[in-house]
Amino acid sequence: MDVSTFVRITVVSFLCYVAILFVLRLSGKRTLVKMSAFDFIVTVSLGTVFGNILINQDEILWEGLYIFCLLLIFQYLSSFLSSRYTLFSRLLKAHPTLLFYDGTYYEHKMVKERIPKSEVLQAIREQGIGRTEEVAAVILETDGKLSVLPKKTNEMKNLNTLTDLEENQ
Amino acid sequence: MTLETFIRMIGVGFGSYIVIVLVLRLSGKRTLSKMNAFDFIVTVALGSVLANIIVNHETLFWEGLVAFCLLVFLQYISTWLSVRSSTVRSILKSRPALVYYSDEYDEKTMRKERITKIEIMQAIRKDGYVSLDEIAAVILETDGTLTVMEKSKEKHLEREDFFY
Repeated sequence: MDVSTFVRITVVSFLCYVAILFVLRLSGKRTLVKMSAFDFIVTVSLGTVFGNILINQDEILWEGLYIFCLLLIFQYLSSFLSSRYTLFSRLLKAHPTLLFYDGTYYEHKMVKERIPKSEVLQAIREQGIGRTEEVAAVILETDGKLSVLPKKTNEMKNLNTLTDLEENQ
Repeated sequence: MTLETFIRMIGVGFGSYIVIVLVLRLSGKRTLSKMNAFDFIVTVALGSVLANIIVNHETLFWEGLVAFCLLVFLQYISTWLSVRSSTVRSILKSRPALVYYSDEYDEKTMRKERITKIEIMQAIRKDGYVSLDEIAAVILETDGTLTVMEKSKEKHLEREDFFY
């Protein structure tokens, strides 16, 4: 590698870094929220595109920057539409699913989502809870994680963090 | 793949691994911390550069190492500057946003930040809260995570209490 290649790599990398930093900053905090599996994949893709631009910059500099911006625009549009219109949020976002509620397993939901009982029990144990009687509900979230809600008192009222689930149960 | 390529790949893989561990170690913990939106992308980009070096070692070894070091260096400069200058900080970093506060969703901020109710409730459930009555506030942080704050028994939390 000669000096001119080195200088070119340095200058182009610097400009790419600044460009990408500003594009991301413009697109807002939401771009990198990882609330669903898809968000996570997009974030990793963005990083990979950036890495590829840096390393193959004589071949794919402009294509890479263009793809980077395209991914951001798609993410922007899908979050913009789904935060404003419930129709889009239903189409674009998976919904959380209730798997266990007050002592009852929802077997057909578990089969549909391909979660065996052992995984539900594992999630409960990971919260340090030894008895299923102490659990109010277990929910499969859109990013693939299981939320375990402990029973704080012996009453089942006020479970209003579950209101987004009821419509599709 | 000939035996020679095999051996060279091991050499390059081993060599670049050691160089990269050293570079990361020298540049400090902050390089790989994910405090704002951009940091995670850079971390993935670093990984992608390393993978490319190992896979395309014949053509890209030196270019790859230069790109890797540059990325670490640029992150170093940007964090160095943002610790020292509030102007740079406000350019590089957005501010956290309050999306749920005093038993109400802030619909305007939610639309502006493109966050749905489902995502807020999901964040609350993940922290193991059963009822919204226990929640004082939910904040969208600059790294894109949602922080859930519990109500305090001693004091009614004011809006100002969540930002410093």
